[in-house]
Amino acid sequence: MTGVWVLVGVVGVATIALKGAGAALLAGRPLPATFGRMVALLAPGLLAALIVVQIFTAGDRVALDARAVGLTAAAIALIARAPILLVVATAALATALARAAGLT
Amino acid sequence: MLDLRRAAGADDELGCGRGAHGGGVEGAHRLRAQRLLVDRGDDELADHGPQAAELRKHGRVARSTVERDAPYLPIGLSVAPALRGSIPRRVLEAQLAVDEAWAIAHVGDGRYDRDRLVGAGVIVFVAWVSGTGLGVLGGSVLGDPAALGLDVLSPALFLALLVAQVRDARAAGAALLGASIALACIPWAPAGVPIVAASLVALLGLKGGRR
Repeated sequence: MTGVWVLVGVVGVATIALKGAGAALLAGRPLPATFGRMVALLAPGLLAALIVVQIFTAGDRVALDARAVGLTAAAIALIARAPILLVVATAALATALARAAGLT
Repeated sequence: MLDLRRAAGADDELGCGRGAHGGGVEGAHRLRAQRLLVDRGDDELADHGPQAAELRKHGRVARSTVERDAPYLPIGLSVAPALRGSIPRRVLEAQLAVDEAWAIAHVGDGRYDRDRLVGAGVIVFVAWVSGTGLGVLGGSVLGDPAALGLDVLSPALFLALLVAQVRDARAAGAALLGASIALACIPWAPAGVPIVAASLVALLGLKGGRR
């Protein structure tokens, strides 16, 4: 049991370090314009990657399943300018219906 | 402009879904954790006794967790210029830069709003903890969370945030490239690495252009 808590502590400290490294290293320093341009592209790039990983990954392989139906439904809701809560609820409902229809 | 409370409300559903994964009978995360902790490498560990097996098991869990959390390095770098005060305070505030709060805090052109980051981060933290607790307690009532489609709440929320952030061709290109890099990495890279690799899109910023 102690070993488990040591493990929890170690991974906790590692996560804190990963998140805090930028804040500690860049504290109070003026940043070059190039850095600003690079950071501007990080947000869309990382968000798109997060979506791809969470929708098209099953274990360690690429998968196309009911989650893609849910994401498509979310995209349609966004095009229809639905509020954000309705977008995520539509995605969940579409995924659930696809699974109920036999899609994995 | 995204409504912070609506986005946080969506995240509360998400936390509940994750909690239900933990409290439900056969959640995907639970299965993955079981596989990680129990199934892998039993044969190779058998010759080294229970303590060695335990150590290796812990090592694998630690490595897997750090790999999954590796995307927080570029995320932390991106919000760093927005944070104020002493280094300990900045490091503390940077801990609130979870995926959803980080995306909500982006006000465009690579600039992040510290107040939005902290506000959204606190709301998301409370939503995750309470939602996870509710999911654990009510998991058996909910049944299999996958059947409810709860696993797409998070990517659907990210899609809404992404659409709000793609304001020009450069951002659209970065999103397409980030998605392509992540997709290409999935079959061979450990969890977390596809996201870190996608952060290479930031190199496009070296080319110059409008901010």
